[in-house]
Amino acid sequence: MKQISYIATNRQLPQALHPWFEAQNYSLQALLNYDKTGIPPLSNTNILLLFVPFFHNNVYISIENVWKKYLELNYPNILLLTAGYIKHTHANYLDLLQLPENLEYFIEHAKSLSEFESMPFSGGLIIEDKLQKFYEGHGDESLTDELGKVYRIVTMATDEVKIHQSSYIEILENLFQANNIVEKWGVLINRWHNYLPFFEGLPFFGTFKEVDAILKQIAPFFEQKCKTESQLIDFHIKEKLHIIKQKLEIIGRQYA
Amino acid sequence: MSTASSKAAVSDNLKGENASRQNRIMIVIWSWRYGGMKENTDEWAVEGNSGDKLVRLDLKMSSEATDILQQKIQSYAQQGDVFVFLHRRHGYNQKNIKAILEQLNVEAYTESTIRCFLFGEGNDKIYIANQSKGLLGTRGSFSAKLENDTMEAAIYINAIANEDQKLLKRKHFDFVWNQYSHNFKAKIFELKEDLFHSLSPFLFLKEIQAGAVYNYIKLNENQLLMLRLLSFIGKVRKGSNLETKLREFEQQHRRSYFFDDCHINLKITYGEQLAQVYKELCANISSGLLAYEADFSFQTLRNQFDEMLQMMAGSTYN
Repeated sequence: MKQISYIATNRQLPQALHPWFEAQNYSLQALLNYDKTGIPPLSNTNILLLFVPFFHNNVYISIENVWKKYLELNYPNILLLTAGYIKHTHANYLDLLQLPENLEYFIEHAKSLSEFESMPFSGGLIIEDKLQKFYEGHGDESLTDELGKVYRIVTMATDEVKIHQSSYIEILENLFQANNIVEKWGVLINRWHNYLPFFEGLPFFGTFKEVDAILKQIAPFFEQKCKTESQLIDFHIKEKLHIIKQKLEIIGRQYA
Repeated sequence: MSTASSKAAVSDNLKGENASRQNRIMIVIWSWRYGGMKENTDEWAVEGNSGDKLVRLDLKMSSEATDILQQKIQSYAQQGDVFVFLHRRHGYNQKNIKAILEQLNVEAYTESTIRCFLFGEGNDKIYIANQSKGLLGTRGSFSAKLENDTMEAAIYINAIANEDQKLLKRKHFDFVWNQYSHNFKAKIFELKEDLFHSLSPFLFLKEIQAGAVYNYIKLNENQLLMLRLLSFIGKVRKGSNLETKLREFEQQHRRSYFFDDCHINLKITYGEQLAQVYKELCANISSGLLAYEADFSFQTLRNQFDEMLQMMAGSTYN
């Protein structure tokens, strides 16, 4: 029996479909824990089926085309299929209300990733729009803009301590307090918590989880109003913010 | 105000209309006095010198209240689009929305959109507790403290930009407006997706016995689906046990399930064509899904949902 790996945010649906796939000589294999630790390596996957749209944060989210791009960049030989309730005749789309007579034939005629532009739109929130806002250079919804501001102030402060050996009281007053860094950190964290649940279905969510962990590590420094010089240096605040920037920039360059 | 005089007033208003269409006005009936509002009503502007505004009203439902509200809607509709938010706890229900929309003759407002929404119990997107970029906080205010298990510490959210100038933050106003612009479409889309997910055990069967789907929906584990369908077709009465139960589900899941405001707006404010499709879909749900002698197809149901969704302009979500 041939295997199809799948991702579904609704558990009932794939269960109900198992008998149909088995009758067609295919077995459905869930990609587990994708939402907690990032998806596992797909090197042994030949066919990936996404039940779309995903449901996260009480919203239906259309993630199909970000997945297509991810696979093109990382696993170009995987056959990507989506399945849902919209009416569409795309060669890689399974209409769950009108399943093909012969799955083998359907799969043989499905197109490889490089042969088509995009997957049919599943009707939910367009995740590319969220990513674009997340990565906007400026704006009320940009996360990276706010991160850049915090990073610049922290970098200057760290250089003042390490290179110029300035007094920390002066740094606190002239850099941190004068630039309202605690408020900027609050905005950054607030936006982060707003965005994170929407990104759970993304193939690179594991990176977002790593960033989340780093943000939690450095949060005490800002929550204590940046008052402790040793925290700034020993917690490696500047370096950790830099790592966050790098991780997010890699995703931004490819998907936003 | 009688229907005739109301319609005449609308007609007169429209003749002299010179409204700027980008203006957006929210009229919100809520417990504002509890939050310190001294008058019955006031206006809050929005950052950025636009004509956008939020009108606060603390008005329990009564025939006089309905007249006051209609006059306000007529007046503000000359300035732009108007979204009216009615607090259920103030006594408002779908019948009031129907009366207001019918009496206003909203179809005559060709240049402006008028929509009425019911809200309450902290479960709707207008609340900061539900969406951090919401507008309504706690105790009749524009601010709230947010806590959840992913946050290290509680976050204080305030939708006010300048209290003395009665100025609201633009991003909060825009967010709520955009959410409610898409609100009905999103709700219907979610019902469609959830419905087919719930009925997935039947989707792939070659034959379905008469009444089997109805019996399945009647199971206790599918109670939420049943209640949402009943609400969609307008069969959940105010004050009934069904309403109480659906409210409990909303609070438990922090999602908005009621269609009590939606179906009146669909019938009256979206035009006749959509109202007809909606009527047919309701009939199909009623006599197909929720009946023992059912003869229906999932594809027809899907097509009806899709037709409705396509007729509703804009994307599903903001």
